[in-house]
Amino acid sequence: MREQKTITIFKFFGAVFLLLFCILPFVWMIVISLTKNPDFFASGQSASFTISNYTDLLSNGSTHLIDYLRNSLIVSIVSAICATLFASFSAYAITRLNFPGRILIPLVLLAFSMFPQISIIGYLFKLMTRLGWINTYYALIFPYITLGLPLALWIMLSYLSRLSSELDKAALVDGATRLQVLLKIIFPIALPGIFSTFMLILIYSFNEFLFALMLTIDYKARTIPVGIALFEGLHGQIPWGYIMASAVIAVVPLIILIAFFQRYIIQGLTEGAVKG
Amino acid sequence: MKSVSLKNIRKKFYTIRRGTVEALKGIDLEIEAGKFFVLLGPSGCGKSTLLNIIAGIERPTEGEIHFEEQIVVSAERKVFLSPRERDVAMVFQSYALYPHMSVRENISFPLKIAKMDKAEISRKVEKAAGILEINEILEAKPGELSGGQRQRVALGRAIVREPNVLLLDEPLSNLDAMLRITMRSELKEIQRELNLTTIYVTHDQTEAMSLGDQIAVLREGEVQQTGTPYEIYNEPENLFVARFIGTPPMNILDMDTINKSRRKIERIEKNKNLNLIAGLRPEDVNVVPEDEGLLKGNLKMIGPIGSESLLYLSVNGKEIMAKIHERTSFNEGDSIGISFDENKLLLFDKEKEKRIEE
Amino acid sequence: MRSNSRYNLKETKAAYWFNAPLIITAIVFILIPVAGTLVTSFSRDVTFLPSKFLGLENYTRMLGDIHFWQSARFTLFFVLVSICLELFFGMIFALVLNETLPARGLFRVAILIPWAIPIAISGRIWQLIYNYEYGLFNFFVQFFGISDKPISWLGSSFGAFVSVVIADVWKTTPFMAIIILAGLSTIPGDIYKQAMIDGTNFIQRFFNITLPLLRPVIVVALLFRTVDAIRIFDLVYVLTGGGPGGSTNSLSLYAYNYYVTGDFGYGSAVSVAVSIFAALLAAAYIKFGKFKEAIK
Repeated sequence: MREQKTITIFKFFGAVFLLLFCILPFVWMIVISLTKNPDFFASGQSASFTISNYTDLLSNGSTHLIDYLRNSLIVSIVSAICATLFASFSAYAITRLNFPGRILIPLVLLAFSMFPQISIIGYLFKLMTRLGWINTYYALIFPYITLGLPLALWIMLSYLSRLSSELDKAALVDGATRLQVLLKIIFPIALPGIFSTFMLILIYSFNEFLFALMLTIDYKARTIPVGIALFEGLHGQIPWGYIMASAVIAVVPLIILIAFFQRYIIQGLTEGAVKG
Repeated sequence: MKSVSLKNIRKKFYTIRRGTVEALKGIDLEIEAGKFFVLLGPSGCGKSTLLNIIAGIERPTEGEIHFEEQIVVSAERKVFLSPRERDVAMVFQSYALYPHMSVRENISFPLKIAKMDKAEISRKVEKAAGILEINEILEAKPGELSGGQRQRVALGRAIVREPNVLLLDEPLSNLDAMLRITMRSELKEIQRELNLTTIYVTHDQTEAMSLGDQIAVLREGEVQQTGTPYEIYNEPENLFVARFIGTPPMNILDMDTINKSRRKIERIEKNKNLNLIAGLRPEDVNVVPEDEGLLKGNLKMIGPIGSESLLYLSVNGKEIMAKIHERTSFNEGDSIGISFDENKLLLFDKEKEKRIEE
Repeated sequence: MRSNSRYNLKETKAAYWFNAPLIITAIVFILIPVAGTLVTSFSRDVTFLPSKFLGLENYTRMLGDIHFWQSARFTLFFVLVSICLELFFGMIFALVLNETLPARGLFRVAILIPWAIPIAISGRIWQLIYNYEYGLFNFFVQFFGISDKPISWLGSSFGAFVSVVIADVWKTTPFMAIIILAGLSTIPGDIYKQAMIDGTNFIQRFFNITLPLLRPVIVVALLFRTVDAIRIFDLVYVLTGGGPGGSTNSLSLYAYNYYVTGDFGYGSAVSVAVSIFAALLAAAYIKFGKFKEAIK
């Protein structure tokens, strides 16, 4: 079949294109992070690969790279845990109990998710200032939880609605309270869905930029995307080697995450969107 | 309608887990034009794969298929006609109706692709719809239809093209029992009326027996026997075919049991030198008073099924079933005798499992 | 709710306890700020100046502000072009991923990489790639002889637009691809076999079967992406800073700049404008998409 062959050819080139498309900038980042002269091919000099960028960054405290990384991890992990928990509780109530607002809550939350962050941050900044939370973890954790709630709710709704409520009924008959049913029975079974949700919120929180930019001032609470975005050099020359090296360091936890958990991540994304 | 001829069709699959799997091990079949030909076999015997190869959605590793004189596919001569070029139509077990198109659009789809003119398409669609009695639902979408209706639409889409060969892959399996029986006869009627060469795949031997002009019994990629329903039933060539056809399955009696017979059975005497086993269909087993039978046994259980009864007997420690057309006068636990017409006893060679002819 | 007998009081109370964390968080950190922004947009709120109620003054100023319209134009063009490209590439990738490939895990990880890297960080990578003297793209341009002079990717307004679009498409195509892939997997394989028998070739199958059956999934994905793309901030902040000359100022960045200089009133007005745009687009999708929602 001539057609079969053409399809295979397209498939092959498509796959190659896909890989190059996705990986090229990433690979470039790594390459540049390992050299002292990023213009090596243009100026004809050799690349002179070295890891001195990394060692310099990590030993020099004034770049605060480790601080940024630590802040990012703490903030995103805490937000992800809380968002997943809150969403699971709500999703449980929505799928199992009958109450006014049952349909409204997911829809309203969906509508909320469409508000651009810029329309939230203005007032939020003033709120945070008044609370004295600027440049602390609280300033970021709470908004991140809120930002993650709509997605988390939709994923958990999709997951829990597929679990038959017979398990609940059996446990209730056995004398458990609703809370116990949720914690002891539903949670263990819905673990994959919970995990996917956690992963997704984690990544989204880690990547968040605008809120972190406005609500933090220095290394005490600043997250790594902001840190890298603002990384300027002295003397007007942008230190690309350093920037790329810090980018690699920032990205490493993410890459490890997606390498191990890609199935959960993809599952979570498809649950959240195809269900909608 | 064309005749179909399969020569040495082989299909090998290369899997990561199980290495090379040979799904079809050299199939030779001759299917006459206009006949209803059934491919019968248990799951995994390769019948669906064979159908796919005839259709052109899979390729054989070796072998050739001819429609009349035209070579439709040949692994050796590197010939391959697409399904369209072969002019075959197929009905899947799942019906594979296009969910976003109306019934009319579903049926006219192949004609549209063939760039037939609109008036012609309309005419053919109406005609097919008439044959299948689905004129009322032409504008509905598959999602709105019942299983039986969907099945008719799938058939309609197949016959509207007046194909050379009609292929059906267990099309009635998803219908409930009553509907299945009704559709069976309708299907046969339509096939006769349109004189379509039809190849029908099923694992249900009752269906095969009632539908087929010819049946090919398959097992693990090989043809066990080809023949009319009568031949398959009364003259099974091997043990597998004998046991696969017939409900309940044929009883197998070993020589131990036979030798306990009150009378010498001539045919067995003649073939004493061979290692034999005998087969006897439940409907050929007569339950008689103990001293009147050729063999002795015990009636363990009676299972009435409407106008017939299944009797579970124990003879020489082995279980034997009898099917009789009336209520039995015996009771459970009675000692009984078994008699049979010696001519109905089928003899098989124990090793080769082939039937001994005389 | 007239007939309260529908609802079991005990259940309702329990439900509200379960929902409390979510509801409280959403109200405090979304509803109140959004409402606050709305209110602020009607007042003069500039640091060190006394605030006073301005009515629609901020808005009239905004409507007469050519920089606002420049931002609006950029944002809308950006959204349009970006979405189309994402859909196109996303579809291709989804079709490739739908086939059986060796090392599927590798492809899945690869496709997640652009999506998982923070825009702020990938923005800097692209900044380097677009660099005039030693960026990767200019290297290719000269290597493949497309032009003898290096292209000023970030220095011209058209170049900057293209640069931003490419960087954004790079990041968001994976998301589209994954969604479309999920949609593809819901189409039963038998349908394609039947279509083959009905005599179609690959292109016909794609347009007559795949595309119509994917329509609901695509519409939903486009809806989310459009609303998302309108609020673009991270990329333009890091890659172009809104330049050159404000040509790549997205609406969010435009508002942000006013926040940073302390003019919360005007910034809020622009923010409200963005929200309204987003809402209008969402409404358009919902109407056009003919949603027959099966709500649980």
